[in-house]
Parts: sequence; structure tokens; C-alpha cells
Amino acid sequence: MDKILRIDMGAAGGPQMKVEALGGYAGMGGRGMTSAVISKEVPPLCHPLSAENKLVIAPGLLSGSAAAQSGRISVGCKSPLTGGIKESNSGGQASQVLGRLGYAAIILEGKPAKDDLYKIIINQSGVQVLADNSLKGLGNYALMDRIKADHGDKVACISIGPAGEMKMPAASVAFTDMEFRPTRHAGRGGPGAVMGSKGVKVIVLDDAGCKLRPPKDPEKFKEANKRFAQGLKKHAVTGQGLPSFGTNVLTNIINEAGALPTNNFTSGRFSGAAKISGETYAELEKSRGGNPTHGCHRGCVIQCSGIFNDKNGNYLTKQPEYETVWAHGSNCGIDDPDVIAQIDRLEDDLGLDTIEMGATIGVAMEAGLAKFGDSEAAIRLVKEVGQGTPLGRILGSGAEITGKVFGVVRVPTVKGQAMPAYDPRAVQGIGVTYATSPMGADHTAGYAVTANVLGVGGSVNPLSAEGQIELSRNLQIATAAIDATGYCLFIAFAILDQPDTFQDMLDVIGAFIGQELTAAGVTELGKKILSFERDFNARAGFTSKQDRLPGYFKEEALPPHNVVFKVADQDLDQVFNW
Amino acid sequence: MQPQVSIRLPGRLFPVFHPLLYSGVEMPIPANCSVKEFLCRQLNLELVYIENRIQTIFLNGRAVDDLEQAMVTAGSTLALSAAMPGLVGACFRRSGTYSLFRSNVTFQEGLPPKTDDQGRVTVKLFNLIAGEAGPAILEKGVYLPAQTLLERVQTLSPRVAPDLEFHLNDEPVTALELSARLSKKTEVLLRVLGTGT
Repeated sequence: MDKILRIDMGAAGGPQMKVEALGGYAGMGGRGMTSAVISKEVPPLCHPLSAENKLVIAPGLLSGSAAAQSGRISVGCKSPLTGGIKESNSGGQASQVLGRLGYAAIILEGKPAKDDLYKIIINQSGVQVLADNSLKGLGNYALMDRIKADHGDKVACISIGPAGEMKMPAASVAFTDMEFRPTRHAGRGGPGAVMGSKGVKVIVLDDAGCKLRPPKDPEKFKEANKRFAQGLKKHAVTGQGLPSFGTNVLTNIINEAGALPTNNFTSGRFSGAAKISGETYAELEKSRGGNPTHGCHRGCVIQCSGIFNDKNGNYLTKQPEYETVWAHGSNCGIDDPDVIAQIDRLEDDLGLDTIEMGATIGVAMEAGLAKFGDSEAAIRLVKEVGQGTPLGRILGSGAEITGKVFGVVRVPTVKGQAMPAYDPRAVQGIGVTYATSPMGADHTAGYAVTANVLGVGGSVNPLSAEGQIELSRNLQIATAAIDATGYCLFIAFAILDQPDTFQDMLDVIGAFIGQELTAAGVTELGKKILSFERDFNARAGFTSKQDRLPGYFKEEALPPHNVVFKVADQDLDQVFNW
Repeated sequence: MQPQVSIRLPGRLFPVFHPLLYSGVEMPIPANCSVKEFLCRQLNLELVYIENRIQTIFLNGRAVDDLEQAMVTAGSTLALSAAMPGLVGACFRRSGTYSLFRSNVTFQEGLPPKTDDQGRVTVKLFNLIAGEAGPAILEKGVYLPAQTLLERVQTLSPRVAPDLEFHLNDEPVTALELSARLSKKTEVLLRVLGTGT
């Protein structure tokens, strides 16, 4: 990965390609690369859908190698949803394939003068950018059928659905999985709309003839990677819980804690939670010939995904993630696993962020467009987004705009981005991260990469008033660094509990890049990335006033524990004071 | 006196009754006791298993850190889980690094105890714990609404149903007869008995 591919989609005479050396971006990968490029090259005050914005697609530092769990890919841009910097990442096959092709980033620049839609093909021989207007309006699934007919199913694809073509702020960028299905998405913040504004429908990545990226120290890498994978397998979360039930194993727990946002964040408990839990889905999948234990890319040890078949035993969609089950389940009062799976399929096909859409429909239900629990209405509303009806255009613009249009006060957003599946009144610490993350409300911005193993920011006194602020800061730093490596964030649990596994991870990276990596080095990388992002947002006009939860979280008590968000504004302002 | 239902099945089919454990079943509690005592004495769980495996415990919806201080009383709801993914999953782990994040919903001494004249505790078992500790609890016997049991029995897959034997008050019955005779009952005492694999 020693080169960057730039494609100027607005060049005179048609798209122009340029392959260049990494230059000042050497050593950057994933989120590190996307945030560095956006921060340095995109005018912060530009319109997100203008020629000045850029879409950066960057595999992690380890992607394309044999490193276990290194298949995450980052997509960066100025977000049409938040107006700030955005990094949204995804699993799927593309990261590994792009890494093997040698590209540290694809940067889409400019904007076509005409309304043509393009297909980009990247292989060992080079790059082609072809206008193909026959792809217009295709859903991601139909698009993949077309690509398969032309290129086979050994390639990996990055694509947008109709939502991206319509430049909706809730539009995602899709990535194909091991079965060449468009089930993995960089959903948050509307990167699909930016890809649509560049006129790019699909990027086909063909690594035929390419080899795995070689580590600098093959023997040390092999040994460390083996130990790291064993560490993941022996841990209860990564070795048993996630493979058995997927991320949706959380539903019963979060519900029991009274932290499962229900009916547009009006309660923390949902009476139908057990019916849509990961445990229930796993049994349902097994009984229909599906599979609750499946990876989203080759080289995945954890296998937290799955295959969901319909009542007739035919493939419908991937195993819905916890966020989808929450968004379209409890948040909309729906307890039918088949309905949630149908919506999951629709969103993957249309290219929509599942969190944003679930939160938006919750707001729409509060506005009276449908009743909570009305499954048919929920499906119809998502379909309206895909059809681009006037109502669909509003919904596809996300929860905040939908709330404004229909006069709803209870809109669960920060910086314009909908909150994920944990109510911050019950789990105050995650509220700190929702409020302060440069990305807007984001549950992955502060992940369970423990402060004490990374040694980030010194030791935390958990009994101190500043504890939550300091923990959130450390988590955001650590997460930014992990997002740069291409490692799946789910490795966090094993490195949280098993210091040996954490050291194994550092050894894998160190052996790959040929220099020893320390916890301090990881910390510095995380701080650097966050600094890029904070700096961009500041220049885009963001102030501490945007680092806040909506006021009702401080005023409306959340049942069943009747708690409110109590972290003071002045404490929130200390999160990035390192 | 509640009707007593016993279901005999091959051990591999225990998971078909796990949903009962997710939504909760009732068990008697002779006297107030700590969570630790309840787990050891009433659920017959080994201390090593409790310490290593049951990483997430809720008492009346509040996360428990200290198993010896948190008291189980009649009317309580006790939920047990393995370690969970995600930051929030980590938050709810017992005495974990991130427990501060959920201090708003942490169990604390001094909270008013639940009381229930019937002297029972609602027990919920989630994820891996349902599979590992569930069979012994179901064999011991649990109370639940008759309708809840019937709904579970009526939704069993046709591939599974023939392998199940039902007894009502020690009398063999079919699933249909069970449904008919329990239709007007409010509660049952259920025992699920494994008969090999």
C-alpha cells in the first residue's frame, strides 16, 4: 500500500486518474488516512455535495495482509448529515482486496458536469472509469447481479444504492461480503450521498494475481498473529458470545438495564425485547437453515455475522445487527424479527444507514405518521425513501430534518446525527461520547479499549467526578487509533481482559511495519487523528455548543429507573483537554 | 395448587425452552439472601462458574457489582448473563473498568427492597448462561404463566414436537390435551427433564 489513487470526476473531457506516492500521508491508514486527507484538503466551509468535497476510501494499515480481523475499511468526507468531518467504517471484502492491490486510499474529487453515472474498475493492470447509465436507479442487490455477470463474483465492490444517487444525507456506501452480497455498510453521516455527488455508482476491485501484503518480519508476524487469533478464540465474548448470537446478544441485556431506547427514546424498556433478541434470532436462523455464525470477510476469527433466511428457507439478508434490531425494533415498538429482517434487506438494497433510518422512523411515528408498533407502516416508510417521494426525501434526510419538518421536539441527535442504541440517561458515560465525538452521536467513537492496557492519559480514579470525562477521552483516543489499523473493534474485548492478547496485537503490527510499536505510540496516533478531526470541525464553525445532548435528555426522566443525563456542560468541555 | 407440568425431551432439545428463561421464570426463595447465596444455594451454581462466567448481573434492572452486598428478596428480578460486547456491554460487567459509565443504574444498598407475598424471585438467564445453567433450573422446577408455556409449546417446530413427552399432574398427555386442560389456568409449575441426547 504505497500509493494513492486520485480520480477527478469533474475534469474537463471526463474523469482523470492520477496515481501518486503517499508523501505526507505515509504511515496513515483507515481513519488516520481519511481524516488527514479531509482535514488538509477539503475546505471546511464547502457544501458537502460540491466539487470541493472529497470522498476518501482507505483500507486499514494491516489490510491486505494475513493479519486476523484486519478487514475494516474507512470512508471519509465532509458529512452532508452533520456538516462536520466524517469517518464511517465497514467490514466486507473490499479492504483486503484494496490493500492487496496496493492502494492506501482512493480519493474521489471534483464533480461531473453532466448527469452521467460511472463504474470504476481497479485491477492489477490499472484503473478504468466508464460511464454506464444503465446502472441508474439499481438497488445494491440488482447492481451486484449486474457486476457478477460482467466480472464474476471473485471481485469486491464498493457501491451506492438509489439513496446515494438521490444524495440523501442518510445514504450509505455498501461493501460486498464473502458471498458477494452488499451487506456491509459505511452508513453513518451520509457518505453515500457524497459518492453519489461524484457520479460514482460502483467501484469494482479485482485482486486477481495479487499476493498478500508481506510483513517486514514474517516469522515474528506469523507467530504473533497466531497467538492473537488464539487469544480472540479463547475469550468468552469474541470466542463464544459474538459467534453464537452476534452483536444482537446485547438486546436482552440493555433492555434489562433499562437502557434500550424504546418508542423514540421515551422508555428504556421494551416488552417485546426477548422476541427480537440475539438468542431468538440465532434459534430462528438455525431452524430455517440459515447460520448465526458467519464472518463478513475472509480472515475473520470472531464470526459475529450470520445468514437470515425467510420463512421458506430462502436467503433474505445478513443476520441483523444489534443496532438494526434496536432501530427498527424497540425504537419503533416492533417485536417481529421477520419485519426487522425485511427492513434490513431494504436498507442494504437502497443504501441507507440503519441507525439513522430507525431513529428517523421513530421520530416520524412520534409525529403521527404511523403508530408505534405498526410494522407495515415502518416498511412502507422505508420504501418511500427508496422511491424518492416527497415524504421519502424528508425521511432520507435523517432524524433531525424529519423532526423539524413535522414539529417534533424529541429528536435524538447530536451534530445532526441520530443516536445509536443506548440511552445516555441510563449509561451516562456513553452520553459523554455521543456529545463530544467529532462525528456526532456515535457508539463506536469510544469503544471498550481499556485505558489501563493502553496507558492512555494516566490512571483513572473511577470514583472521581472527572472519571467519566477522562474515560471517554481515553476511549476516543484508543478507538481512533484502532480505526486506523483496519482491525475490527470487536478485538477490544479480548485485549481488554487479556494483556497477552494486547501485546500480541502490538507485536503483529510491529512485525508488519518493521518497528516496535508501543502503547504510547498508539496513543499518539489516536490523538493526532482526533486533532485533525477537531480542527476541521472548528474551521467548519463548530463550537462547544455542538458538543451537547438535546436538552430533553436533561429534563425528561427515562423509565424504568427515572434517570436524566447529569454530566455538566463544563465537564463535557474538558474531554479534549489533554 | 398449580397444575404440575413435566416435559421429557432429549437433552439436545433444551434450547427450545430457552425463551422461557429469557423472559423470566419464578423460583421460590425461602428467605432474603445475598445474590451470591441465591446463586449458590437456590440455583446450585458453583462459585468458580459464578466468578468466571456470570460477568453481568442485574437485580431489579440495576447492575450488581458486589454479590455479597446486594440482597435478593421476594419479588425481586435477578438476570444473569455472560460478558457482553461493546462499550455498553463492558459497562455492565461486574466491577469493570467502565462501571462508572452506568452509575445511574447501578444497584446500591438502601434501595427499597421488593416484596411479594408469594415468596418468589423472577430469574432470567440470557445468552450462554441459558444454555449452561438453564437445564438444571428447568429440571428443578419453575413457575410461569400457563399461557406463556402454551405459547411456547404451540410454536414448537414440527421437527421437534414428536420428541417431547408431556405429563400433566403425572398423567401423560398430548400437546393438544395440555393446551386444552391448561387454557383456563393462570399458572403452572414446570419441570423439563432431559433424557440423554
